[in-house]
Amino acid sequence: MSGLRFDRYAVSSGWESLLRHGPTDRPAVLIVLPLFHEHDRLRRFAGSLMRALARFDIATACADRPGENESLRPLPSGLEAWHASTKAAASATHAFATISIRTGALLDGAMPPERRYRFAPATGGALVRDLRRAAGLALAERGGAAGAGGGIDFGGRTIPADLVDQLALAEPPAEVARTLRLEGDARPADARVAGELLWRRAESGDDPQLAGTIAADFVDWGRACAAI
Amino acid sequence: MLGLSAGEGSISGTGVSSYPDPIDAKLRSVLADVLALSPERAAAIVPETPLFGAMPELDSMAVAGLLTEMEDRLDIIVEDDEVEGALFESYGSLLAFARAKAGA
Repeated sequence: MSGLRFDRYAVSSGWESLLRHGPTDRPAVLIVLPLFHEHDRLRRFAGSLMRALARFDIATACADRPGENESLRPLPSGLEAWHASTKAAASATHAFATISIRTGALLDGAMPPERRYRFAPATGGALVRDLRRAAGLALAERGGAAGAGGGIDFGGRTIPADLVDQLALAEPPAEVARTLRLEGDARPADARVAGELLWRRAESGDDPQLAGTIAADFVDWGRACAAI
Repeated sequence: MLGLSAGEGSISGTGVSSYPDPIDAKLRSVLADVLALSPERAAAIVPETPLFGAMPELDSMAVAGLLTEMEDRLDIIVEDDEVEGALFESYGSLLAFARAKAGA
């Protein structure tokens, strides 16, 4: 974790943790990780990406959302709390761009469109289907049967029904500056890169080469459009 | 001035598959990517290759991820009542399902 350190930022009713790399007196790139289990699987990769960007002398930050990671708050009952916390983290770090990953893209409306950089963006609908399916299969293994709607019991806690309902309809904002995807993913993208499908793995993994590729592409893009 | 980028490029790799059937090629790459199979293991998969219960990587959590990734890459929707044990008996049974869903 060399170079990475913990800081905090203010949310509506207190503080949440913020992982930082690089000087805090100049604008940072805010890394917006995906929600729920994909967040946990990509946390280590986020560290690699922050170190890779540091090699280009770019300061970075990655914020805990209320109810996730080290947060002591319960999961929010709607997406608004996470939109607000992402905005607060962007403001606290003087963010000049976001790099959002997977369902992190649902929250990058915190940044103007020309400063939204995305890797493998995903819809809330696909996330909810994945969560329901995983919860249903886990329940079936124990001999139970899942209901069709409502909250989702997953990973030892219940995701509130209202949050699930909002997520099911949530899409990343339509306007985006640049989108990268993995090879093999045919959905619209500006470029495709080779890399590991880390968000589907059972264990939290890493792909430093992919982190380096994304960092270099981000820097090329940022310089071309004078964001860096 | 910040501009929206246009056009598409590949930064590394080619992604070219040697499988003539595009559904087979996509399904094989989904399986390899989700389960982190080596290229040799992925290439050795045949229709008779048993999946659930035979591949230690394929537990129930991985089944969920596999189905969601299939939805994404094959542009299909898998309903819960379509998911039954027989689907994952072999690679061939999963491929037949994928072909039927993709309308191929």
